[in-house]
Amino acid sequence: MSELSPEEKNLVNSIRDGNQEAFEEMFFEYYAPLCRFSKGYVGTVESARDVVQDVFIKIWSKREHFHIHTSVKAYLFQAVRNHSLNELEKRNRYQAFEEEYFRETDAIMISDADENSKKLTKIIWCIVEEMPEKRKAVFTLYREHGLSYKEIASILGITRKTVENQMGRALNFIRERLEE
Amino acid sequence: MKKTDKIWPAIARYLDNSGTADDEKLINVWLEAGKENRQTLEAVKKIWASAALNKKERMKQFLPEEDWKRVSSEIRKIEEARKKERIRRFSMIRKRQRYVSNFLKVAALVIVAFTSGYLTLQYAPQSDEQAYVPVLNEISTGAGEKASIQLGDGTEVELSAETELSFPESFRNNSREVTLSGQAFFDVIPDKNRPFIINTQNGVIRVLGTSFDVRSYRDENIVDVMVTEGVVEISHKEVPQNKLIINRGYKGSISLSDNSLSVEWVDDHEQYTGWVDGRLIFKEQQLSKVFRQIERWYDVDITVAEGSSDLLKKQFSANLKTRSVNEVMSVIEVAMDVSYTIQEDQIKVYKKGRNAPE
Repeated sequence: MSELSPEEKNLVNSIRDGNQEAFEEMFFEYYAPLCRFSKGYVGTVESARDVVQDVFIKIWSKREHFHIHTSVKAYLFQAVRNHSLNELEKRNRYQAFEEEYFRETDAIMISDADENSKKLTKIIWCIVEEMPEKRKAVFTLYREHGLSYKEIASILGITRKTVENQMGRALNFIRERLEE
Repeated sequence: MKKTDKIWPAIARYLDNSGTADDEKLINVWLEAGKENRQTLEAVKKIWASAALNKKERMKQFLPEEDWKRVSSEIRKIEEARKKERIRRFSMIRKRQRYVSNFLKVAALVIVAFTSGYLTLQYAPQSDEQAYVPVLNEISTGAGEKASIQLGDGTEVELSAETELSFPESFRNNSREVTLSGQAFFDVIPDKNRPFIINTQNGVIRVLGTSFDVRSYRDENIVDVMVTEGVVEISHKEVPQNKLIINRGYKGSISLSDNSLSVEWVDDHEQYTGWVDGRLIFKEQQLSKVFRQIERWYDVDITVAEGSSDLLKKQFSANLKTRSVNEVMSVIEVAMDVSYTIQEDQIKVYKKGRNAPE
């Protein structure tokens, strides 16, 4: 794993020492992207906000144990993913949410195929929602949140090779769906 | 079939700019294989680029400012709960809530005084030794209190109950001198050029860097120095040529009644230093001394009922994690076959079988 940068080390140490400003800084930098990522799991904006807020609150209340080895970003995404999966398990609505997305995305795709890039982007992200969890996470973490293959591997607990395979499959999946 | 299995991870690496020479070769061969493959690659590149667009728009529905309010109010709650927990623990250990605020004040005061003292020492010209007029600071603990401070040179001192330590705001160039009455544990920072000297009621203790416990209460006619690390020299104030070197594991004593110095090996130094960790340790000590120690530690008065005073000569041994005075007394009750009553801070002890005086 890559070494933590000096700035990040500083940030983590400050938070561990109870520095609220450092914590606030981390919150504002990552809050929206983490919510967006969580929404891909839990389905609604409201639930995503709850999940991510809980993650931050938990980090603060257990800040003495806030240790990071990869990067702050990878750590947070990993925590949010775990928390989101727990949330889904709790609600037992995993199945329901997948079906919901299939219907929604179908509707959009049929109506407007590749008119301009903005629309294409929207469609791509709708297709992403249809992917199995790991494949979706790989694509989202890379293209939406700018994490490296290495970081994604550590977040999802899989090898870098698997990440590359999943990325390839994700691209092929989107391409095939667009051609339909 | 196998080719397509390999081609997608290769494309994934190629888009990541982490493709190898083999990947490049593989992709080129694949592109040559058919026109539709070239179209596929173009489509994928487009997907790749489009996916990263309009991020801001997708994040728009999440409002950090608004949600921070909830998170920060939760944090405040956590902090308040932690503070309460800290205070609760502190008072549980000490069982002396009314001293808590006082103790904290003293410690804070001294630390502030030291910060400035330390800075003076660092930045003031140091050559003018004659102009040295020590400004004395004093820290003292009452019965039932304990305090710890770090002196300007880094030396750490742990004060037991009913103890006074005075020390200059900044040390001299050639020595570090303090005055002690009571009991304290010193962890002295080594400094060859400035020996650390502790003046007690009539003893002088010189060290170069070591840990030891000094016990010199005014109502006891002996000064005890238990050395747990390094070497300490003790001498009599009136007869300074009388010196004794005390090594680690030994206890040196200065008797106030006949001005003599003595040294003895101590198997278990905890009976002298255990108080630092909050332990109350007695080893074959007369109850009179034990009671005096409990009075200091818990800020109580112990009186022995009339006709029971022969108890005071009995010897008592125990190693107690100090909790409440009641728990300590109940151990003595069982071990020494005595009874006692507690009313607020007044403890009365009497022989078993005799009725508690009304």
